Amino acid sequence: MAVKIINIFTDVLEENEKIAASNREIFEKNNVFAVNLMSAPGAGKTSLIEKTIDFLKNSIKIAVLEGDITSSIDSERLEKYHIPVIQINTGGECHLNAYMVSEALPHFKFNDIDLLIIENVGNLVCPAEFKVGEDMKVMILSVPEGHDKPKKYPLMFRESRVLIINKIDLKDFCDTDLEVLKKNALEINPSLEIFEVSCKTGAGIEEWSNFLVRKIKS
Amino acid sequence: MWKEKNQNRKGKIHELSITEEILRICLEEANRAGAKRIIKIKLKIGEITNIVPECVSFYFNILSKGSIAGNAKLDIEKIPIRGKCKNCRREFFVEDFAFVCPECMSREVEMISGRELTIDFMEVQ
Ligand SMILES: [Zn+2]
Repeated sequence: MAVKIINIFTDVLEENEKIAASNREIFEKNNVFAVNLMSAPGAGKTSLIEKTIDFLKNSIKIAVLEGDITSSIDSERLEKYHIPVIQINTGGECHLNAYMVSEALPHFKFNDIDLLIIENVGNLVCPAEFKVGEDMKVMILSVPEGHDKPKKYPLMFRESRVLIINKIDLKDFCDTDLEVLKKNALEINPSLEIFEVSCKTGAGIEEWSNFLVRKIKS
Repeated sequence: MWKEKNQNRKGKIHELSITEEILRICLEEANRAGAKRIIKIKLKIGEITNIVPECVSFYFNILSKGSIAGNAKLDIEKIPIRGKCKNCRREFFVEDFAFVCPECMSREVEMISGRELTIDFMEVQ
């Protein structure tokens, strides 16, 4: 039997991008600003969400979509805020994809939401690849992770609109050079907006929250 | 250097769903073309993606067992990162993920390759 060549030229993630685009239409139609929040495990995604809700709860209406491999620990942490929280268990997948998000969206009442924070699974590789329909990607890097992270996970830094450097209260106890870290990050993506915060002391939360509000309203 | 290798190994699970998608698309295309067997699949993976070709091959061998892609050879081409300066239009290879124009030092650099995650073609029977 003769060998035949089939040209494909297909982006492997094309199907995901189609679903992401339809998620995005839903966000736009309902005037919801969607943030895809990503980081390595333990960098402080849930803490940042808590601090952001604390700061903004009286001015904008926030909802959270929690992605987690199996547990619901993070969404339980958010119960005290009495805001809409939907949990997605990815069942082993290391990232949220557009399909998982599309399945969760009907559970939200969008006329009561200005901002949807999508907390991705803790991982710096796949979440950068899979769009979910977000308005912007925001990544958190905590000070103890070191200043080489941008060079190790460049796509994450290239794709993100915002870099939040968390745990700056620990900077005197780590070897991380914040100036080198910022230089490395900006070499990959010169339009990155960078905020230095501490979810422990509250430093920088105001600047980040105000930036977020400006984005939502623009 | 042991540490670097270990980093890659940690990334292993991340390639699983991407490999599943590759196999799904290839089987669908082969089916549409009425192919009996997939001999070779050519993939292009950009340097910035952090996707480790060895991991994709590893998963592919497991996932494709029993299908018409069972003995297919995965030919993975790593695509280097190329940038194009928005200021002086110069094209260049981006070294060490530094998106800075070597000509005019501008940081307004568009990525023109290196982001690929593409199935290029298949050889089938
Ligand atoms: Zn230039």
